[in-house]
Amino acid sequence: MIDFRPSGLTEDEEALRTRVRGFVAEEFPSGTYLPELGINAAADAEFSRRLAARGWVGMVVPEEYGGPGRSATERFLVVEELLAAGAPVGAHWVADRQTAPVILTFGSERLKREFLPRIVRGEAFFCLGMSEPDSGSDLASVRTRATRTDGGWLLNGRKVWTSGAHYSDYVMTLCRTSPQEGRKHAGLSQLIVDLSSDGVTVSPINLLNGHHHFNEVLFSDVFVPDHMVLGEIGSGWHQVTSELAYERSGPDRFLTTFPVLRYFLDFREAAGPEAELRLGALAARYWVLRNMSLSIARSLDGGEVPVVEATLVKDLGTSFEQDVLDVVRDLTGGEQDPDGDLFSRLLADATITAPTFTLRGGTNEVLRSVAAKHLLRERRRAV
Amino acid sequence: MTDELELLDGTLRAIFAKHCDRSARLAAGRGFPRELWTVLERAGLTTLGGDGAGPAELVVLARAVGRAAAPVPLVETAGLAAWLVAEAGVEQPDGITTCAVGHPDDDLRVVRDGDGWTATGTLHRVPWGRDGDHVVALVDGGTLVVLPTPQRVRPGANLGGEPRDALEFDGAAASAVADSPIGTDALRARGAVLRAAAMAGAMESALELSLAYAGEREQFGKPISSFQAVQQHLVAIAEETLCAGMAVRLAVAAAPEQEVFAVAAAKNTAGCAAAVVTKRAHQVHGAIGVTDEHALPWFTTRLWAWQDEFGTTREWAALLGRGVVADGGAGLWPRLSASVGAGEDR
Repeated sequence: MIDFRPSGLTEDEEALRTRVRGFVAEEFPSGTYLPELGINAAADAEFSRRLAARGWVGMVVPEEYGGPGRSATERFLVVEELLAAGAPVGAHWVADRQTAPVILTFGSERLKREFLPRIVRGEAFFCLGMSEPDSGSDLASVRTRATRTDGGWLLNGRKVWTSGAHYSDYVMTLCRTSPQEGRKHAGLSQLIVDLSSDGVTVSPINLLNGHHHFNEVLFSDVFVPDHMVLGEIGSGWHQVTSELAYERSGPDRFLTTFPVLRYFLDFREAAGPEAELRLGALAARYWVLRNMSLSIARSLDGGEVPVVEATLVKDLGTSFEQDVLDVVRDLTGGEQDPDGDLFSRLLADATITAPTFTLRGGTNEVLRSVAAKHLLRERRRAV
Repeated sequence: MTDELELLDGTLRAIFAKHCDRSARLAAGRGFPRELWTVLERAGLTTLGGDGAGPAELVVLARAVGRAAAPVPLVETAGLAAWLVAEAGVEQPDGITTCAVGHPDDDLRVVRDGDGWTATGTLHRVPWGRDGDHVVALVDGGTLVVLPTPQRVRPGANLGGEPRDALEFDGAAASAVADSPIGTDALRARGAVLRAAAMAGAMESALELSLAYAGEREQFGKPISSFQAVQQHLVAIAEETLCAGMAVRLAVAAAPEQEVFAVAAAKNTAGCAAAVVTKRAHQVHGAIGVTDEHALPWFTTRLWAWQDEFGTTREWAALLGRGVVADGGAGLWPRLSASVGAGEDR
């Protein structure tokens, strides 16, 4: 049965948090810093390397691969402080959240030695080559294809809405390595593609606010050597779905708009019965969601793979991120001014980019379908 | 949960499964379910809160009551009355001892009368007031009084059909009067957590019924669970049920300095969750769910009633909100991310 358990922190964990809080307060003073919004954050490679110098990038990488060998819970504590402050985490985000754990789980010894120490130093940035023009929620329908060649694979296809490809070094690419016959989940593989390879073209697809975050990535006869295959050829689907517990459950799924609420309290007058009622309900929801998310980090540390729990928390958390904006807009009142003070600019940016919260990493509707099937299956099994 | 809590939960589940079925429930509509109460008494469950059990145990008890929609004042007797008398050093009377809820219209006064005390006034919306042998109440903010159930009872009910009676005293001799270390705010907080726990239990049952019905009921030639629109309801019910359960556990795990916040968050979360769960569970069930032939209303009507008891969803939200406004932007994150005590398995 699905369950969430409250979890306290050890003294070491509290001490880590205190250090991160001190660092964050120095880097991002409230009132002079325009916070970033969650994982839409700008890339600041220098910031990523300052963070790496403190041992806070690729934290779960063990010592033998150059990392500090910290737990998923410790990573959770660092990341939530960064997101609550609106830090520019864009550059190292994917490598830290996703690539490091999957290389650890599925990667060859050579891939581990080649990539993990560089991720930990903030010197290898990754993006995810998943969506295509005709493959969004139905990810297994990807058409990007790799065919066998001497010593590796020749990759052809087109990825779109690829976050951060313009500043990343590598793209973790889901592609078809054998033609689709019968089950479409078979015959998929993950290749690590060097974005500086011949035949790779990255071009911007601007967000609705004009910001360059998404890209189109074209592969035209790109050579990918054998050792850059992640895990087994043909196991791509299994590998991608097992990433989901990392991808879906973290603080990035409920904290995106937290800086907006914080700056609202800093820069605007919040008082009166309506403000109290609505802010109180938000506080209760943050409290519960944060502890659910923390509980998932603890499960990961315990060797569990809480994919369904993560799915539910992502659905709840990302919907909530939008609810927070509705409340802040109502309490702020008046017309929005995208060129106003720090708070106004932040609120405007959040309002315009809010639709991305419940789309990225799988739309909430698809998440709920997956979760419903699990709930119904578990119940049939129980009776 | 620890082994002890698992055992307690298992005992309660077994008792309710055996003694709280459909026919017992129909009979309960005509009179107090004595047989069920006797079983609970013999299992030592009606004195739990006075036997050293803390919030963790009492939350398990309340959740089981909610999960079974058990038509007995177990939460009031074991969770509130037993706790209040034990803390005040008074013996718990035999039989059913219910607990006054601190209703704003209560006007009970206790005066000296020779060696004893007499009480005059009215206690409002007392759970199972008519069925109790005794009632425990706090008067003047900090005095505990134990009274035999009076002659004059004005019967009432909540939306779930649970007795909520006015008890009228006129110079009634008190069984006991003592200083109470528990004040009215602490009683209200304990009541709120236990109601939230019962709500989490009732929502578990509403989820279970919804999953079962959606899997069985066929329309357009297939189970309605194969429709995405229905699936979305089922997931929302599960999510909110899990949120309520987590919020209750957090209230139990909270460190002393965050207790008020965690209690308020628990009752507010359970109230918000119940709004979603009741609507969507009824939508999944269609017409059969709004008839007394189905079990769903046992849970949904109680959820509507419990949303408002020991502080409404809005009252607790307002309390949280005053804290948020007072803390300001800089205080918000430390408050929300404060770690709960211990970290042991609860």
